[in-house]
Amino acid sequence: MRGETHLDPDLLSAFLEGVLTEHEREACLAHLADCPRCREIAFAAQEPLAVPVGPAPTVAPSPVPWWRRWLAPAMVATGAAAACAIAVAGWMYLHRAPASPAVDEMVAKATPPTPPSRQTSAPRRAAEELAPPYQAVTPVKPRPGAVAAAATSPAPTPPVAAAGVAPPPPAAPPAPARTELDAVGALPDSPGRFLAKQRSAETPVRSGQDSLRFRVDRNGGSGAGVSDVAGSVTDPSGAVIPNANVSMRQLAGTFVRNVQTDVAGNFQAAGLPPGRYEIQIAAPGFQKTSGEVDLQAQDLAMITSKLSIGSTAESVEVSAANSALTLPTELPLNGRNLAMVAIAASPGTTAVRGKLIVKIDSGALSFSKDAGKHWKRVKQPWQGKAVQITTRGASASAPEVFQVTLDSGVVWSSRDGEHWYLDPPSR
Amino acid sequence: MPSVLPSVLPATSSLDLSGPLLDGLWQAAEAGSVGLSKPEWAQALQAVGTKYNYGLPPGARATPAQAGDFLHSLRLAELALAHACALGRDVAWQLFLARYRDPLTKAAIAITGSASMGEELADSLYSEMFGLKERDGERLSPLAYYSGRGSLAGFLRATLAQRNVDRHRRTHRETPLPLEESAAATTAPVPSSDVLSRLGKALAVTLGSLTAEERFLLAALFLDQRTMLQIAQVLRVHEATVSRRVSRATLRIRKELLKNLQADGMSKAAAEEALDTDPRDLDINLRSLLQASRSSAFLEQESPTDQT
Repeated sequence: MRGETHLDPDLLSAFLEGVLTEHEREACLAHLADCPRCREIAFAAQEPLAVPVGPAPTVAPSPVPWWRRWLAPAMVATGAAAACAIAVAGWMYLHRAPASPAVDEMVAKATPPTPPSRQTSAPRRAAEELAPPYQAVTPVKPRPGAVAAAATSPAPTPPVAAAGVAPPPPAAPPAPARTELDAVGALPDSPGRFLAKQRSAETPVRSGQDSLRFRVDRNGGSGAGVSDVAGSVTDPSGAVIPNANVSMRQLAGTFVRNVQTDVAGNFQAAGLPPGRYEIQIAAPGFQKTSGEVDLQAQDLAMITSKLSIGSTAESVEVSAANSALTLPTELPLNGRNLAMVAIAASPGTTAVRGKLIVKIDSGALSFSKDAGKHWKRVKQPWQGKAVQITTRGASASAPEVFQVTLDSGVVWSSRDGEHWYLDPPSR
Repeated sequence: MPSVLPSVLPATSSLDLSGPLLDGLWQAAEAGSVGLSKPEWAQALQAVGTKYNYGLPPGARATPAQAGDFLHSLRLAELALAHACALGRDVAWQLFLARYRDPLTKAAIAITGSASMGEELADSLYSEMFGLKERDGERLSPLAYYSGRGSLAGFLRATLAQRNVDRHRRTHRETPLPLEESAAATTAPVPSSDVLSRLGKALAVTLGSLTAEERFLLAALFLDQRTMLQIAQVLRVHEATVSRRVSRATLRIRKELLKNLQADGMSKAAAEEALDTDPRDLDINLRSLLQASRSSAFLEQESPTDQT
């Protein structure tokens, strides 16, 4: 060992205590990498030495930059302030004003992209919390040029608005002389347009059964010589039902109009010839309901429908105008029983992609990767119930995915049925 | 190991410690209470500053401000105590014994693993620290080499560890492990000598390109059989950090090896196959490759004590 150079204990202890500068530390490491003796000493010197009892030797502290003195307290204060702000915002959000239950109130507020009031607060709130940047219940977005007197900005309504409290519109408030009807007169057809129209007269013509209520607004229609129908479809809890089929069949004639509710559960049909109509509303998983209404020229029939829960075995009546019942291309028939086949064939509640099956069961999702042999419950990242499951076709740039629509209208997607991601709303 | 231990340090220095700086350091260290005079204190500080170039890279010249910052970062009270002990001041020595005697003995016992050996080691060090050894009429004390950068306790522990390691190395010869006879021959074919030669060269180049920390990690882990926890304690990082660094280093080694082998003319497939070579077929000394002597050690320190 004579003639060799090694790290002296002073330098070694300084290295072990981490007080060396960077270049000194690098040099020590370089020597330690080469010298087994010094490495052995370094490791042997690791056990802490008991601090001697007695007055600690005063050590002149190294000067601390002023910004470091304030950095830690500033960060703590900022973090605490942010936490308080979040807590206050969350409390305010949870205790916001409840949604207005009446459609009239929504009309009075005259905001076209206003969600229906029949949605309960729980699913809507849950959906809003789920996707704050998106509308929990997407009201119909105003199309280009859409201007209500109190028309809002083209941006989607923030979650607070979806709760029923209309956001303060950035545009100027409507002139007192104008009515919402005038304001929306030039709008293309949209459910919101009808919802924004001011009632002139409310004449309950025929209430129908509990699951289907009518209210006809004379002279509320859009054009001369024709009538309009609009409304919304919900489930017993008040949650909207998107993609429900609404059929309007003229009893004395051959006119038939079929429409589907949008993600907000609203529907509308304009330009119906006057006459007596049978209105049928059906949705997967719900009992079909129907009723009759007389429509005269320039009438606007407002329909509210609350469908009862039906069994999966119930058939769904779909008119010719709607897309035909789409069966999965590959039914898991091998070793399957008829019940499974029936489930697989039930559109809207089950989606199949090869051996991968995703189904809705009482609002919750389950998936099977082996054609139904074994099922697993999906760990749902959302709140609310699933009302429809479909597959979105593959394209050159995107693989086929499952899509589930919640009662709030929010759509989630998944490639494997197990992991789900939020679909951005179409803008 | 030859020792060079000047007890009186030259007064000249590129930086003159006097005035408010020295007064401030003097008061902070309470140097007067341990029997040091101001000139002696100034000499001790200048020696430390010169030894470490005030914390600056070699060749850089420290400004008075930088020198002041460096000196203020030292453990001044411990430095004063150690220096006063090295000069044989009784009051300092009394204080030192009161504070460090028992902890030092316990540390020696912990390092040696034996009470008798530990006490013997501690007593031996105490006698050295008190400067009982003399050379050419000058008192020799390891405490004179304490700079105040780390703690005095850490310095004492490192000194104990050094003595114990040196004693162990003197008394236990390192014998190479016996080559294990392979019970069964590997079924994989032994690469050709050309491949082995290229692999050895690539390995030497690759290991030479590692950073100091990587080489230290690999040496401590694979050559010294240290645990990651022990390595983490030395490097003052979390054990998981050590694990990550080792993984990164081994991945880097593999990539570099592949690159070097391909640069040497091997195809990628052949290089990858070469990496699967049984290390026993390699006729290289990995230990010497990993611990290749580097001539650019920035500090050449002699051990302060004679290890005879």
